[in-house]
Amino acid sequence: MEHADGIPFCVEESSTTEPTAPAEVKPTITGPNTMWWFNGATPSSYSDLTQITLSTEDTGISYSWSVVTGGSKVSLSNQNTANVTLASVGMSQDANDVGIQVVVDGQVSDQFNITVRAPHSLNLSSTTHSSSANFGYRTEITYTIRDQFTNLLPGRAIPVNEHFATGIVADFSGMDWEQTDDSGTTLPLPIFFDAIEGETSSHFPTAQAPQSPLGSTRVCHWSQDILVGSATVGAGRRVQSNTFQKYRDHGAHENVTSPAP
Amino acid sequence: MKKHKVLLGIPILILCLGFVSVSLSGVLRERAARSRVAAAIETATATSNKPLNATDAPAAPIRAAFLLSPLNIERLTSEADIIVIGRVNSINGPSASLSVDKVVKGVANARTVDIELMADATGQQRVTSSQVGMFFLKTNAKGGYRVLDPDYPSVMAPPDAVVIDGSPLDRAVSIVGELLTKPNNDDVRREAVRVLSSARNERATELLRQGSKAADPVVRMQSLSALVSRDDLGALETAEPILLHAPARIEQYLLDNLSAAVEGVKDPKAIPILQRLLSSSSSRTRVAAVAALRHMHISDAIEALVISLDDPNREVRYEAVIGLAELTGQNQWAPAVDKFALNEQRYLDHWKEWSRTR
Repeated sequence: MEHADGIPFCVEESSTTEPTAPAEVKPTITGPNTMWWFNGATPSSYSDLTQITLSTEDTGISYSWSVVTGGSKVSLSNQNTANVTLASVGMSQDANDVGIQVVVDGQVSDQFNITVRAPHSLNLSSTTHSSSANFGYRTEITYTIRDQFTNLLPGRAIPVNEHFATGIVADFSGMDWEQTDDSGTTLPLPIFFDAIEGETSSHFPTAQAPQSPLGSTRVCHWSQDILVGSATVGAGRRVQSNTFQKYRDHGAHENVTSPAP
Repeated sequence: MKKHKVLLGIPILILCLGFVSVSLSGVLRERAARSRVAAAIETATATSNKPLNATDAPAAPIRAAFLLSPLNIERLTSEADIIVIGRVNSINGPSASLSVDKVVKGVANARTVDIELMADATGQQRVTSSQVGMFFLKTNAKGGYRVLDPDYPSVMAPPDAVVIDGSPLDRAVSIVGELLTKPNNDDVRREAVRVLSSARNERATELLRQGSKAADPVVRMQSLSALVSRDDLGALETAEPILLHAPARIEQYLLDNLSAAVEGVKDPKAIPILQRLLSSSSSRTRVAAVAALRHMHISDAIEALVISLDDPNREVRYEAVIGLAELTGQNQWAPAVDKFALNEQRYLDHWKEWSRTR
C-alpha cells in the first residue's frame, strides 16, 4: 500500500460482505469503504467520497438500511431501496468505525464497515527564504495535508484557504506595513506553501533581504487559520492556527497549533 | 567564467545606474542595495547578454498569492507544448512579446513570439518586461502561445545555456543546473536548488549531490534535504551526524527542513540509521524517522517502532502505535490522533504487551 495514496491500514477501496452460508439468502453489501468529511464543505474533486452509495444486489420486496455503529459520522437517505446514500457528517475516531447493515425481506446482512476520513493537520515540509526585488524578502513555508491518522491526503485536487482571524498588530514602533487579504485556492495535490513577503520600499521600516543569520526584528503579526475543503475564506475544516509573523527580513508561522479543530 | 561574471554584472550595473539617477533618500538607497541581488533573481538570474531598453521600466509590484502549489518542473515540462529560453521584450496588455534564444522542447514558429498572458489565482499575471528565463508555453486556440501556468510562467535559466540531448526534462534540469554549477551568487544557486528539488530524475539528483557539497550552507543543506527526501541513502548517511549533533552555525530552519526530509526515506537499508535518529534530541527528527519506519510496512521496522512507544514525544508514540497497527492489521488498535490523545496509555499498553508476546 502506497503511503502517498493516503489510505490507512488495510482498508480496500471497495469490498463485499461475505455470506456465511451459501444456502442462506443473507444480503450482501457492496460499495466504497472510505468516505471524506470536510466540515460541511463539499469539494468537487471529492464529490464521489463525501456522498457515497452502498448497494445490495439481493432483490426483495422490502429494504431497510441502518447505521449499526458510528451513527454520528454518516447520515442515510433512500433507506428503503436497494441503494442507500450515505453523506458524511463527522469523522472516524477509529479505522472502520462506521457499521452499516441492510435487512432485505427480513434477512439481515453482515456489518459493512467504513472509515470517514477528514483533513486534520498540516505537516511542515520545508521553509525557504529568498530575496524579493519588490518586497525585500519572500518566505515560503511548505506543508502537506494529513488526515486524522496522519496519512497524506490522496493525490486529488483540494481547495484550501487562509482566514486572518485578527487585524494587524504592530511589533515595530511606527511601522506602516499592511495586512494582506486572506484568500483561497484549489491545489492540484495536497501540498502547498504559504508565501510571506515583506513590504514595498515606500513603507517603514524598509524590508530587507534575508540576513545570515536571520534577523530577529519583528515588524507586525496577525492570527491565521488554515482550512481545507473549500477555497472560500473561513469555510472547510480548520487544520492549523498560528501567528502569521513578519520580521524585517523574513516571515514565519509561530505559535503553531495543528490539528486545530 | 569571466564572461559569465561580466554578463551577470550588466543588468546589475544598469539597475544601479537607474537608482543613482534618482535623488535617493536614505531609505531608497537601502532599498536599492537589496534590490540589486533580488532583481538578479527575479529577472531570471540577470544573465541576459542584451542591453535593457526603454521598455524596461519596473513593473508594478506583484503581491504573491499566499497559498500556492509548489513549483513542479516535471509537470511544467510534461504539459508544455514548447519550452523556450528567452527574454520578454515588451508587454502589451494581455500579451507579451518574447524573444526566443533557445528551444528546449517543441518547435517555436518564429524568433520572436507573442504569448498570451494569464492571471494567477489572485488576478495578477507574473510576467514582467525584460524578464529572462525558461518559459513553459502551451499553444492556444488561435495557433499562438499562452503561458502554461500563470503561477510559474518561467524558471531561471542562463540565455547562453547549452541544450543537451535527452528528454525535455533532462534538458530543462541541465539548464537550471548550469546556474548551480557555474559561478553565481548564492541567491541564484539557492533558487536553482529549489527548482531542481522538484525534479526527480537522475540528472537532478546528480546536480543536487554537487549542491550538497557547496560552501553556502543554504545551498548545501537544501540540496541535502532534497536528496534525503528522494530516498538517497548516501545523503542520509551524510545527514545523520548533522541531525544527531546539530552544528551551531546551521540555522534552525535548515535543520528542520532536513529533519522533515527524513520521512521520505523508503529504503529498508536505512533502518539502522533511522533507528539511530530516534535518539536525536530533536523531536522533529524523531517524528520523521518513526514516520519513515511506519510507512515501510515491513517487519524489520517493528523493533524500532516498539522502542518509540517510550519516546517522550506524543507524536512519536502515535506514529509507533499506528505503524504497528498497520503492520499487523489490528485496526481496532489504530486510533485517530485525537482519540489516542485522550487515552494513549491504553494503546501503549496493548502494543507493549503485543511486543512481549509476539
